[in-house]
Order: sequence, then structure tokens, then C-alpha cells
Amino acid sequence: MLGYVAVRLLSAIPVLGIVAVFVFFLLTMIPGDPAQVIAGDFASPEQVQQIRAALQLDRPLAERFVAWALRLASGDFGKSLFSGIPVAQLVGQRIEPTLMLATMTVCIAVAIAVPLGLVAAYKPGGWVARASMTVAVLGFSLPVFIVAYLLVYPFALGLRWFPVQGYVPLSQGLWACLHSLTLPALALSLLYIALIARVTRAAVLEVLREDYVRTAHAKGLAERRVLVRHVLRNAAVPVVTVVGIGFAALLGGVVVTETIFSIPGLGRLTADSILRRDYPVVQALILLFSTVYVVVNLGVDLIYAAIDPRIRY
Amino acid sequence: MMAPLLDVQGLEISLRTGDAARPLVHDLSFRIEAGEALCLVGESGSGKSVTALALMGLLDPKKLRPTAGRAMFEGQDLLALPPDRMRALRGHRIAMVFQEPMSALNPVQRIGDQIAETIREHRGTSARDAESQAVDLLDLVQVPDAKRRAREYPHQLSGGMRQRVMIAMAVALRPALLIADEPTTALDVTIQAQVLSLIDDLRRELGTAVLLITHDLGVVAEIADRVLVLYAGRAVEQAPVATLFDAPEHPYTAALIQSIRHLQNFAEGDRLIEIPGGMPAPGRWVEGCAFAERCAYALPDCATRLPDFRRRAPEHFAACWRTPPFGGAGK
Amino acid sequence: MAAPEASMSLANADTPVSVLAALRRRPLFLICVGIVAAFALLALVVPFLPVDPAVLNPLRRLRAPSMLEPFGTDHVGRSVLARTLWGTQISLGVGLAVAALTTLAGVSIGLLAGYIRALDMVLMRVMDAVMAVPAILLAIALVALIGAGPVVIVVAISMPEIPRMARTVRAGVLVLRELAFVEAATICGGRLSTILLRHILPSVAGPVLVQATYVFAAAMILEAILSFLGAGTPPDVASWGNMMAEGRQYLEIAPWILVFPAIALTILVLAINVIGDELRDMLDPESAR
Repeated sequence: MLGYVAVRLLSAIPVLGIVAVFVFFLLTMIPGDPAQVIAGDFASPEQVQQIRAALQLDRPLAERFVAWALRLASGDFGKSLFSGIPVAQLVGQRIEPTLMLATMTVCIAVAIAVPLGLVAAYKPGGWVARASMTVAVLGFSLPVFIVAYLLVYPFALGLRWFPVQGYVPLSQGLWACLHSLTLPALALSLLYIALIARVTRAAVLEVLREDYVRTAHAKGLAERRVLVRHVLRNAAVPVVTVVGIGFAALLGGVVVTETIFSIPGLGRLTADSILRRDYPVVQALILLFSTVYVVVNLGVDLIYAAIDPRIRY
Repeated sequence: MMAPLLDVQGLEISLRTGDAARPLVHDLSFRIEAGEALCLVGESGSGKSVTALALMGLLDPKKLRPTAGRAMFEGQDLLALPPDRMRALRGHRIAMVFQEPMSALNPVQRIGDQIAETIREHRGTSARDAESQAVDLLDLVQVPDAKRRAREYPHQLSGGMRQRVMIAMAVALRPALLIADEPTTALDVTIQAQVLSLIDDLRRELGTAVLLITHDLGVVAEIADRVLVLYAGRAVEQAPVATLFDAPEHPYTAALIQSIRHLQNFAEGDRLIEIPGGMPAPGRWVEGCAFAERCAYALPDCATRLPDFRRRAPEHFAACWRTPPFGGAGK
Repeated sequence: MAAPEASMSLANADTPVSVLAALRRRPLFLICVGIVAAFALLALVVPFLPVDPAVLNPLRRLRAPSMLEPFGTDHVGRSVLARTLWGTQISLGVGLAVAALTTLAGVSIGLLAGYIRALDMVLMRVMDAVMAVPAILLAIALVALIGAGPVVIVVAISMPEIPRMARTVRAGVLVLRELAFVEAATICGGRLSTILLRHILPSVAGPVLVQATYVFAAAMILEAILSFLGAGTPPDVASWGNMMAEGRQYLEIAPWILVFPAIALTILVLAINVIGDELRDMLDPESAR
């Protein structure tokens, strides 16, 4: 088990390494003088020179890369070109809202999608099956910002149950925080629901054909027990997998959702930094998001063993 | 005389295809007395497994359903029972063992829990009591080191052990009737005999009646009191086991018996189909006797006139226009 | 990452008659093909229609839909109808280009990775890395840093979609490689390109087609999101994403600016996704229903 974790951690390193290389060379893809582009059209020559110095653009590429990688390895992500604040500090301030939003979204998505997919497979042709497959195809067809407005219009502008935008930090109470995140989390969860419900349905359909499900019925077990103990448990591996894979879509959606709902999280920081061409911050955020994704999927791999005793590391 | 434990009368099971219902099993009647072992013998597609599933209420109603007849079991008609009453009987009064021990056990649940689950569902026993009963049951089906085994998962057990677990699960609540659908087909020959004798022992020990479904006459000889031979969804012969082997009244039965005797002469084996030709596919029934086209003794109108399932001797029934002796194995 | 490969059985060669019969049993498929065809037709004829997306009319700004302006006007008095019609071109164009580029790149990478063991490890690690970066993030980073041009946008949207296509193809190739006819071709000394293109590619065409359809739909959504975030097509272009981004500021007083492109985008993407689902079910009857 420990050995397996070590192997998986090691295999994550090249993936993150490639991301890091990519992130570094993003800068070199900028046509023309990167310092000028980053500084913008209205920058003074001094500002451009400052940026050039901050990014050490006058040094050879290889040297820059090595220096950058070494600093990265020691946990130094540099300073924001925009505010001069160290990137680590900037990111640290923005983690809480995003963490809350992502957690809430995953919880909502799993809580809705798994039962939906289960019933859709169990009662094919029923109204739940049709409704859930409609939700699934809608989830893939609606951009997250349209979903957001579809929720904001009735529930925030109309009924005024939820704020139109803004974030209440955790320090003001868990409930107030969750309340402020309800609409963003719902908007963000639709795509995730679609993804999970689809996979759950397919996995359950497959398990329902298995002999052991017939055995469970032959034992005279109640339907609910058959579904939960025998069907769902066996269908869990693909479902957990897609929760992990979908995490990338979730993190991407965070960028849009936080912008729409003015949530001061990492997503908002990402969008702002990209538009400001605040290069060190963008580098750090892309690396951070990728690391989170890789770690989540490593966790998923470890969950397999807990679900299925046949999987041994 | 007491009513039989299970009394099936005129059972018809049909496949639903579009609007038409195509019968797979026609007008099947048989009885099982308490503690008795009846073997249902036939090739795959003869309707024997479907019959078992119908008695368990486990047919997929979207595809298959009993369309006529009744099956009286302890005073209730199994075919007309509402689903929740049927569920209360399943695993409790009637239990079933399936063919594939590899896939019939839940791979992600400890085997002790799988056995205990049946007990808890029907008796409401506490988890701990059910757990210890499960260990006792594993002892009963001669699983060595039962206490440790109960904590293992199916993939850690051999095929024979898994089938023992299935049997333990089935007899957990001392059912009146145990249906075993090809319980030994998937096992090694040496293990087959052990599992069969286990079923036989349990039958005597617990007084459970057994409905054993098989295509293997060797199995029949070992365990059956009486035998019912199915061909293409119809009963063709029924007799006490000794009578059947000594004096078959149907050419199909005779050919089956001959084919295994023939096989035993040169090799170990369990294949019995040595009769030329194949059984008509379900739904492609001929008007008369379905065996006629393969039968060495067929008369010109066998193919058009259906023979009755008639009593030939006390306890001996057959559906054939001809009478023995039937010497050859077929055409 | 241990990702589940899209497991789809290989398309079996149907006779044209049975294909037609199958289509008749799938009215939803035909309806959606009709919808997409209608949009495509609009995109083709819109230059010849008397609608101009760029004509400003400051006197008639933020007008609600009326007989004269069925979709209303935006904040500088441009016709929302005209802009929505022109936006069809952008969306379909981007979708088509991304689907084509993704298919080309994904199929090439998938074929090579699946067939040449030595390349597999490297290519798939790179694909893992691309998959680890959220699509939206990757795309806006590319567009914002390199600059918004049609080519950059198409490449930026294609990048994150390529790994899944490559994985789909690779999974199919891994299965096929063991099959007799490929093995035979290999043993008989067939050229690598011949084996890949003539023997393997046709067999993975079904899953690739389905995947390409999904990419088509996803690309249009991503394009809209990019424009919405201000990192998409240049703001003066009448794309649905730009219209929605502008409409966002007037959501409470002039919702029609956002609503009409949103409806158009949703219908078109929905139709394409349904086509993908129906194609998948047709090619793989096992997973259907």
C-alpha cells in the first residue's frame, strides 16, 4: 500500500514537471517583446524595463528556466507584477472561498447525480430516467454562465432567497458562508452532475446484469438493500473515477463562476491575473490547479482499494 | 395423502416479443414432495432454467413471464403472489443455488456478511448473531477454518469453496425447497462429486426438498429420487430414477442414457449431446413432437401430431407415440 | 491518471438499408440533424441577407424586441437579430475548426501511442499533463498571452480536448493490435503507415466520430466562455460570447441582449450533443438503454 502510494506520487512528478515546463514556456510564446506585452500599450519605458528585470528577460532562456525551477522547488513563486505582493501570500488569501465552493459543489453534485443515475438505470424509460438524461445533456450544453443567470434571475433577483453576488467568509459563520455560495455551487455543479449521472447510469446498468445481483434477489433482500449494498457498491469505481476526472472541469468552472458571482477566490484571481498579464501569478495558479487535480486523482486511486477488495497495491 | 410441497400445474412461460407472446415452456406439470429430490434434465434452451426462475419469481418481467398454470407451494400460488410476499419466501422458504459460483457472489462483500445478510433480512437477527450463524453455516457446508474464511472475499476462494458458500447462503434459514440450477457444471470433476454429496447430505440432514436442474445424467444418477426430462419446453418423460435408467419410455431419454454410457466407455466426460442434429430454437416449435426430426423411431405423422404426456406405468410418464425398446442412439 | 477509456465497440459495417431503417427509428437524431443543418445554412447565407451586425444607431439603443427589431437592440443600438445571425458563423466555424484540429491531432497521437510502445509512455504523460490543466484555464492563458486571433483561439480551445480524443483512439488501437488481421498485416511486413491508416483507423472511426461531435459542442461552449471572460474573439466581432459578455452589464434592463444569443447557443449545442449521444447509441447498441 505505502509502496503503491510512493509509486503513484513518483509518477505524478513527470506530469507536473511537464505542466511546469509548459507554464514556463507560455511566456516565450508571447509574440514580440514579452515585457512590452505584459506592461500593456500605455506603459512607460521604465515600467517595461522594470518588468524585464523582474522576469530576468535579458538572461538566456535555459538559465532563466533553471533559476525559475530552483526557486519553485524552494517554494518561491515570485512576486505579482501588478501588486508586488508575493504570489504565495496572494494565493493564500484566496484559497478559502474556492475551497468552500469546490467542496460544496462536489457534495451537491454527488448527492444529486448518483441517485439520479441509479434510478435512471434501475427504471429505464421511467420519468426519472428521462429527466436525468435530459439534465445530463443540458449539463453538457449550457455554458456555466448561462446556468448562473438562469439561477440568479429567479432565486436572487426574483425571490431574493440568495444574494446576486458576493462571498461571506467562513469566519462569519458556516451557514452564512454556505448560503452565499448556494447559487454559485449549483451553477457550477450542473456540468458535474451531468458527468457523474451519466457514468453512474452506465455503471449501474452494467452491474444490474451481473449474477450476484440475481443472487441478492434470490436471497429475498429488499430492493433498496439490493441497490445500495450490492449494485451501488459495485458500480462505485467508475463513479469515483469520473468524480476525479471531472475535477478539472470543476476547477475551470471556478474561474467563470467566481467572476460572475464576484467571489474573491482563486478562480477570480486567475481570470484577473490573466487579463492583467500578471505572469508569475498565472504560472503559480496553473501549477496549483494542476497539482490539485493530480492529487485528487491520486486520492481517487487510493479509494479504489477501499471500494474493491480485489484491488491490491 | 398430504398435499405435495410444490405442485406445478400446466405451467406456461412466454417470451414477450413485440405484441406476440412466444411460449418457451408448454403445459409443464410436476410435483415435489417434502424432502424429495427431483431432477429436471434437458439441454440448454429446453426451458429448465426458466422454469426455476419462474418458481423463484426472478424472471425479468419485461422479457419473460408465466402466462398460464399455477405453482402451489405451502398453500400459495407462487406465480400469483404479490412481489413483497414472494420476496419474503425467497431465501427463506425457497432458496436457490446458481451455476456460476465465480460471478454469483458479490465481489466486494465479505462472504460471512453475504450469508448473514439473508438471515438478517428474514429474521431481523442482530448483526453479531447473524455473523456467528454464518460461521456455523460455513462449518455445516464443510468450509475449513470457517471463522477466518467468513472474513474473506469471494476472489480469495476456489470455485468449489464458493459454491459451498452459495449453498450455505441458500440453506441458512432451512428452506423447505432448494432449487439448484446446474450447481456443479462450472466446477472441476472431483469437486463436482463433493458438492453433489454435500447437497445430498444437507437434504437428508435438514429435510429440504431439492429441485436440481442439470444437463448431466451422471449428476442425476447420484442425487435424484425422480427425474423429469424436458425437451424443447415440454416434458417428455418422468420416472423414478432407477426406472428411468433401466427402462426409458422415450427415445430422447434412451438416446441420452446411451450417449453417456458410450462416453464412459472411453473417457471421463460430461458431454451428453451425441444425438445428431440440434434442438429446435425456442419459439420455432414444430406442430407435433419436437424431437421427431432427430428421432430414429419417428413415424410419418410424429412431426404433425403432438403425443400426450401419458402414464406408462405407476409413477412413469412419457410423451411418445412409440413404445420401447429403443436401441440406437438416433438416426 | 487512471482514466476510464471510452469503451465503445467497433462499428460494424451496416448495409445502407439497415442504416436507413435505424434512422427512421431515431426521430430525435433526425430532428437534431435538421436543427444543425438549419444553423449551418444560416451561417452560409447570412452575408447575403440584409442584416448588418455593425451598424450603430445610438438613437435606438436598448430597445425591447418589437416588430421592427424582433430581438431588440443592444447598448449602442445594434440589431441583436443581425448580430445573433452573424454569430452563427463564428460559433459553427470555431466548433468545426476545433473538431477538425482535435480529431487530426488526437487521432495521430492516439494511433502512434497505441501502436508504438516506445512512444506510448512519453505521449501519454504529456496528455496527462494537458488534462491536468483545466480546459478553460489553458485556453484563456493561451489567448490572453499570445493574443486573440482566429488561429490562436482555435488552437487554444483544441489543446485541452486533444488528450481525450487521443485516449479514445489509443484504447481502440490497444484492443485491435492483438486482433488477428492487424497481427497478420504486421507479420506480412506491412508498412507502419499502411497498417495504421488502412487497418486500424477505419475500426476506430466510430468512437472518433462520436468524440468529435462532443468536441464540436464543447468547443462552442468554450468559445463563448472565453469571449465572456474577455479573452475570446476581439470585442468588435459579433460572436455570441461577446454579445453575452456585453449583455451581462444590461441584464436587468435589457435582458434580450444576453437571452437571444444564449438561446441560439444552447439550441445548437444541445442539438449537436444529442447527435453525439444518438450516434454513440447507434454504434454501440450495448450501452443504449
